[in-house]
Amino acid sequence: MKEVLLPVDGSERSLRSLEAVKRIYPPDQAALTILMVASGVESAGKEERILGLLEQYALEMEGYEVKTVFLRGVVGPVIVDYAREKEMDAIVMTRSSRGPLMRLGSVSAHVVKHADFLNLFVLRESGSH
Amino acid sequence: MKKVLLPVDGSARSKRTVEAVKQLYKPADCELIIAKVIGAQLYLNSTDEIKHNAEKAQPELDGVAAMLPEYNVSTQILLGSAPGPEIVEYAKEVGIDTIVMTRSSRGPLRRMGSVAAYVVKNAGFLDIVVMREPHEDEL
Repeated sequence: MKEVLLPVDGSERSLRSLEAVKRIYPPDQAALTILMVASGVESAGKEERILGLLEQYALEMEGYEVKTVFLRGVVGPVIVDYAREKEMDAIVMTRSSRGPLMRLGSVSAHVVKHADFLNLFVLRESGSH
Repeated sequence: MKKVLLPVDGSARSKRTVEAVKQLYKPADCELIIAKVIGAQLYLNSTDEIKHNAEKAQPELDGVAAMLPEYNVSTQILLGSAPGPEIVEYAKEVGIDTIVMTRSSRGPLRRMGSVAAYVVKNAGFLDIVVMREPHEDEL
């Protein structure tokens, strides 16, 4: 049973990570953790909405063993630390859209550099697979 | 039909890339290109040097291809000054759908920075699979 981590950011593109997992891992081979990370500032007062979103993501993954997690902090390092702590086997993610402060792809680039203990799937930016 | 690029860098890690490809793609669903970047910098590498390195690379590429007997495989030697940009440019040129790669082996490539990180940042038009570092018992 592979432990697979799905970082999501609440955007449309996160749905594509979920679709990709279905293509890569059959339900009986992967236990999923859907992880949303947001800074304290971004997420202030939005906990309910975030948890609701995570529940929706979990519902997309019918048949799979799914867990949802919401953590506050700097996205890249939190993902890597969580993956290391929980001994994840793989991360499936899209490039993030973080607005003016973080360039597209910088979270995934951080994860590539620091999470060398697991297999990493970084999905293309748009279009059909 | 997916076009899948497998950059190799001379290490035994290629074996695990091959295993990943077999798990992810059926032979009928993909076209595999196994590629290696040879250092070719004006004023730094002589044409003899480049030719020599290219000749050394081909058997290595063929060796990886031999691990994928049922697949539609071709090999490609790329000449360039840095592996990251060469890989991305080539992928763009030939319309690669997915790159499956390991992180750079120890040695000179490592000092040049992470090729995988470069590809992730600059090849947003395709999917990338980066294999984990091998465990002790896999070396």
